[in-house]
Amino acid sequence: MTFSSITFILFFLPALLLIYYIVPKQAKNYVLFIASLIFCITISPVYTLILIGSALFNFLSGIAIDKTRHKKTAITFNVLINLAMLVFLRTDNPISTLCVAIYTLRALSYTIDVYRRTTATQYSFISFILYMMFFPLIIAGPVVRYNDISRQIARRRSTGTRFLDGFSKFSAGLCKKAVIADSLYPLHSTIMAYDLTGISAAHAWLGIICYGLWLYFVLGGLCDIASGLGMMLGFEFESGFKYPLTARSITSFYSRFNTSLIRWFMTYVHTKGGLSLILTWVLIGLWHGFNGGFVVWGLATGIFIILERYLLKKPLRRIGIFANIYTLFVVTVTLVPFATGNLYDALTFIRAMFSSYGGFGETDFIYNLSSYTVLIIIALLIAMGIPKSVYNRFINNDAVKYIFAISGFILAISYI
Amino acid sequence: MKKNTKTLLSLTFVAMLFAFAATNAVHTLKNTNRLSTDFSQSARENMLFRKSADAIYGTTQQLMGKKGLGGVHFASGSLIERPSAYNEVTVDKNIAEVAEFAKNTDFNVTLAVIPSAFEIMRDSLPYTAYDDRELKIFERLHISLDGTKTMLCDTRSALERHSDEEIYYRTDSHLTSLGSYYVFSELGEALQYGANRIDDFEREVAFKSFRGDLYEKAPTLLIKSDTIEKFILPGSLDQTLKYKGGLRDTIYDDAYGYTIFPGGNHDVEIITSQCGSGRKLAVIKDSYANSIVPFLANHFDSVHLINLSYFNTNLQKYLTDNEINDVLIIYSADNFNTNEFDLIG
Repeated sequence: MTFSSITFILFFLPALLLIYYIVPKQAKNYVLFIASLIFCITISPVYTLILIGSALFNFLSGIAIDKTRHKKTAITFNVLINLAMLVFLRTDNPISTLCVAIYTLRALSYTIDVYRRTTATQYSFISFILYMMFFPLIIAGPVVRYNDISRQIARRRSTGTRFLDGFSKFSAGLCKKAVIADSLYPLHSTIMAYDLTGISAAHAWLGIICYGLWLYFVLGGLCDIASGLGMMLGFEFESGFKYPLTARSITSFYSRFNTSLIRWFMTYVHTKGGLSLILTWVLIGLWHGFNGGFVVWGLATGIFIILERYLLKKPLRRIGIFANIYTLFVVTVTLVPFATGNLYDALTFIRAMFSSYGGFGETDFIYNLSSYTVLIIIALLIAMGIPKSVYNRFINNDAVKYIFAISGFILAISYI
Repeated sequence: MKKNTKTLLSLTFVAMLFAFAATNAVHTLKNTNRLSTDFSQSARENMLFRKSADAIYGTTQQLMGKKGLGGVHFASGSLIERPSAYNEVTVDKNIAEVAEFAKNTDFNVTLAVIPSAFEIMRDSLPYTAYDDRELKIFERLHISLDGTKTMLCDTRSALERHSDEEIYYRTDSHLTSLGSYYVFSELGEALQYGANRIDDFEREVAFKSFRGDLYEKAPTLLIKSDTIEKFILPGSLDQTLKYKGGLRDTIYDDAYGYTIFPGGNHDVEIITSQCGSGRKLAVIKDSYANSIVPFLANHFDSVHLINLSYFNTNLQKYLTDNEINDVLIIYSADNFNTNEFDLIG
């Protein structure tokens, strides 16, 4: 079961919400736990067992780290086991792999916080496993930190407004994922399936821009869905995508793109200085998957961020819109190894982007471009936050917002 | 907005959502065979308002500039399916099969391959969508069959002369009755009948707002629906249609859409008309022949419609036993290009 499936939207979610709001307060966390368990089992029963085992291990680790005198040994052991899970539990199923990758980060956030004494040890297993397995967060994040959630697990308040706003966010997320991302996907996969040595510069640019937008909408959409579902159940967590296309530096871009993930690495991996920062970015790349493409993406991004910190900070401020163009250009080019996965294809692709071979005249290119122009423009406008600012500036009316939310919901269901 | 209004609004909305989810759940579970199908797939297919949801999907895809869906192009004013790529091996095998069949019989054998809208209406296809995949089939047919005993009906030229008329449905892949009439007139020479003039017919509307097989694949509301017409000769003959286990006194079925035409899912259907020509015709066919058959039925005492996918007996023997004079083979170009036929057995 995924969020964008009829089974989830028209069976699982309404049933859960009904039961959740009927049962007394003390039972609500149990309802969420059982719902999360069912949700995980529909993804993969084997993985559910592993996740429960890991939750138990990290729960006990938390207590051990708190009680023992050999705190360093305990945390090292815990980190090693969690990393081993991250490394060895990769399968061909991308959803299960992503689940485990995010799950590990959530576990480490807790045990490291306990070790650093920035959080109290959790002695209630149900509260802990709910933090670990809460179904809105299980697939693609956002990577919430333990401190942000533990308080809400103990105490939270649902209001009509929060519920409706949550629904609006949920339906916006569904539209991003099911309508925009899923419609963009075929173009990128068509272009990648061509013989990369033969594609024109125009075609290569179209392909990589489309991939970048797809990535933004699929991750942003899933995080919005998670955040919206959370709000409908009385929680509050940020989705972490804040219109990065208007960013005027790489640093600023990645503080608005998948914020929660990058913040996690900056909190728990990055120590001090430039070298550590670059290393952290390489690890962010590696976290996405063990291949050269991700590493090169992380490395390049890290290097640009360092350059910006020490050299480019002032010049970038002076050039206005050109800073924006620089940002998008660098982000797009560095995204190539991330998109192709392997370095050889990445090089071929980048060579195509900067060659004059083929020009603009290929018939395939014109066909593809004209098929996707409207969609790409809509996607760009949304990713720049323009509809949102128009709404805030000229409309700003709750009734209109909810009408949009319901229309978006109907549109998204039609695409599922 | 005031707090009370908001609470009321959220409650109303939640109630509506739940009512929809509950009705949908009952509806889906009723229509789902939970043992044999994947539940999520079946929940999707059996969702309430499935058709409306599909229409929203197709229409917004077209609005976003997509050139087609599910192998069907959004052409200007109509939907046009993209045929399979040209397959010379299959085409050659089928041509050889027809030629061999004609060589060893005394019947007059005529072959009519019906081009698709992709070839005939190519000017209305999206930019760069057209290629000569189907034209190649017709070129091959002319090269291989000219000068043989098989009569080849030049359907492609006949339809091209009328490509500015509504000869194909906008939302269905078949020929309209008008398009079928032009094929029927072109067949007159090969089958030796004097075709009726188009003004001889009264045109009766059988269906308004018909949306056909192409709409199922690319459900957009930006393409107008179709009208299905019957072309009827005034004071026409009594006609009966006989098939395994049934007999009716009209050639038309009272079904939905294109299925009103004779030639459904039976091995053989026999149309009898007292027209006094003394001739018997066998039509070996796929569904593209169905709308042509009513025209043919006015010129033959009996027309045997043979669908090879369901036909199990020896064809040669069947034709001899039933004293057939003429054999007409009608297939769509796409079918001729993708399926191998077995006429000889």
